[in-house]
Amino acid sequence: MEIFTGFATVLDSPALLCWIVLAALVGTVVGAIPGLTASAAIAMILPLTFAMEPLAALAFLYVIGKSGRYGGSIAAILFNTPGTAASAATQIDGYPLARKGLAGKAMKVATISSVIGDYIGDLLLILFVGWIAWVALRLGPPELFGVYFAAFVVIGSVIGASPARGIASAALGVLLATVGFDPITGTPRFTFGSYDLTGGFNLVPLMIGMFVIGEVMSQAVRPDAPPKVQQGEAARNRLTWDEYRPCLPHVVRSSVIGAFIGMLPGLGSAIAAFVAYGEGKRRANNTDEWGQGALQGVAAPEAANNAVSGPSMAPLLTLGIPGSTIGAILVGVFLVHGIQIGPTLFLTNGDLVYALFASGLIGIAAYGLIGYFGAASLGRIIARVETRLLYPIVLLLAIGASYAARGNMFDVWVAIGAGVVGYAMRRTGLNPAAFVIAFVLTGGAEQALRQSLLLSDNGTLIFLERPVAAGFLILAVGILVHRVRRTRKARREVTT
Amino acid sequence: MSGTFSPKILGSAIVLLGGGAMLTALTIGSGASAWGPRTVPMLAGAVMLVTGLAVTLERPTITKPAGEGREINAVWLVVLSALYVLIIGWVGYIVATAIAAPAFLWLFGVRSRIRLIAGMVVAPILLHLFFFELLGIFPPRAVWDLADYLPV
Repeated sequence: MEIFTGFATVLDSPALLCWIVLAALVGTVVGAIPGLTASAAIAMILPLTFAMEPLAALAFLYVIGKSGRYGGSIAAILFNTPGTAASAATQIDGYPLARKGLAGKAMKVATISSVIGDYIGDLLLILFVGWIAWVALRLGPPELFGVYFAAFVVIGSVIGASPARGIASAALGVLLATVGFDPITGTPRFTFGSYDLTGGFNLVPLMIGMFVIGEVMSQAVRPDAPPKVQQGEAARNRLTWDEYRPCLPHVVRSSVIGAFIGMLPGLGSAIAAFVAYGEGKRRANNTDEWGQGALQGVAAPEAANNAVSGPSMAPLLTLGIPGSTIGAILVGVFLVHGIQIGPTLFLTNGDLVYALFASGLIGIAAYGLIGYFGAASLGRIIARVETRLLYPIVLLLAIGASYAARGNMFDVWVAIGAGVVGYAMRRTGLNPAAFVIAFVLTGGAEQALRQSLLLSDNGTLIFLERPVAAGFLILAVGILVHRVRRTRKARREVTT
Repeated sequence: MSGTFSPKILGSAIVLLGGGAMLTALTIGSGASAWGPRTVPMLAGAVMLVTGLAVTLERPTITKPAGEGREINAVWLVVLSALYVLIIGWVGYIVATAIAAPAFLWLFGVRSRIRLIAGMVVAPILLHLFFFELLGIFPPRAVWDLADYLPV
């Protein structure tokens, strides 16, 4: 019932509604620009939202994340370049449809499927998040550490080029998060006598460096290739119910797949989209058409990658564990506004959480309308934007935004340094997302670990004495072993 | 993305970083109570050490990273960004941005004089107005700043 109160809060504020609609537009545009991701946009915009009301800031960034995931499909279909990693699976059938002159039809299927997927994901979130928070409230420090440990292992082993590289990326994030005064004893760690380092690294410039400056550096080395737009005549691009009906079972199934994957930290939209595409193709009657321009091949991954959005907020809001880079950035907003995330969030700021969910639901409708009626025009405009003009502007804005976060030039140096690290990580198969999520998780994980050890009479054995904690540790080890075996098997197949 | 970059070099770098972190972590605090603040940095360093060793055992892949041969552009971008930040401290945000904007445009392949001049004039004005007038952020300190002489 709290969701209705949330709707009342949102609908009562015209300014908030304007922010939501603006976010839907910004996210769709940013997602549609190849090379710019919703994460980059949110990281850059984050400092600019500090002066906003907490709900407006959160809703604005949350809806940008949602619409950014959808916007990636426009670039995938029109330019044969996925705007985001999550829309790479959409490209498989989207671009062949565009080459047949059916880009408009493909984009309408992508829009409707994204909207349905996003709504299913959000409704599951709203139905179950309260229950997850209730369970989370009953977890003690050892159980929480078990959850954090599993999150580190899943994030590191699943999203890197190899489990070793992914976990190394996460460990680097942990190491950097420990710079500054120890939160319990006040002992300086890795400060090397520098006053600037005593407060540790700030999340905002780190994010801007990793996701914006690092990406601009990647774009600087890429050969110039202006996107070619594939469109067709309007009459052939009308979508009928008979054409969309076969997509519906794929959309529902993919939404459930996406929602489930979304709840697991670190897996994210791209994995959901590919799993849903594979599952859709396996179950389809027209398997031969998949990959050649099947509308179902657009519907399945789009529903899945957007269904991730809502459930990925569940571990963030209930346990303080961001499931994605966008979630990690939203942690920054909560922190800036002094809102403690975790199980008590629903007790202390329940109204805000449900108003955020309501904003998300309105945001989905907003980007759905923008996409359904304007995606083709948006694609044409974006194709005219010269990236050689765009990226210098993005870089100047990123440097300005990293200063704006705290009015501190040290943060600008941190952003540039993080940009270099992010670029190097991309070039070497290390993973910036694993790094950043681990950076965000470290504070809570360290607190849980040290509290557990203080509670324990038997040292680290406390984690094996408590069944829930032990369960998560065993789960983490199991996932790691499974990933290592799969990676080794895949390598053997490549070499033979 | 793992590209032609040798896993042995990458793995060794991770091992060195992890080992260095563990050694540095041993210098955190003093006495028996120092083990609390040392625990997580030590663990992170140890994990890096082990995963670094695992990376050295990986086989090199044959995929070439996109943009190979143009990495110098990324180096220039970092050098220009660092110079830009330094210059902000000397001549203020507006003048530094007026110098940096055409340099960044040039780096991304813009050669039209009109566009470079437009970037030099428009970028500093718009960014100054956005960050320091609209958002009300206090501008970075500089030895000399043109903004001190402007009416807005």
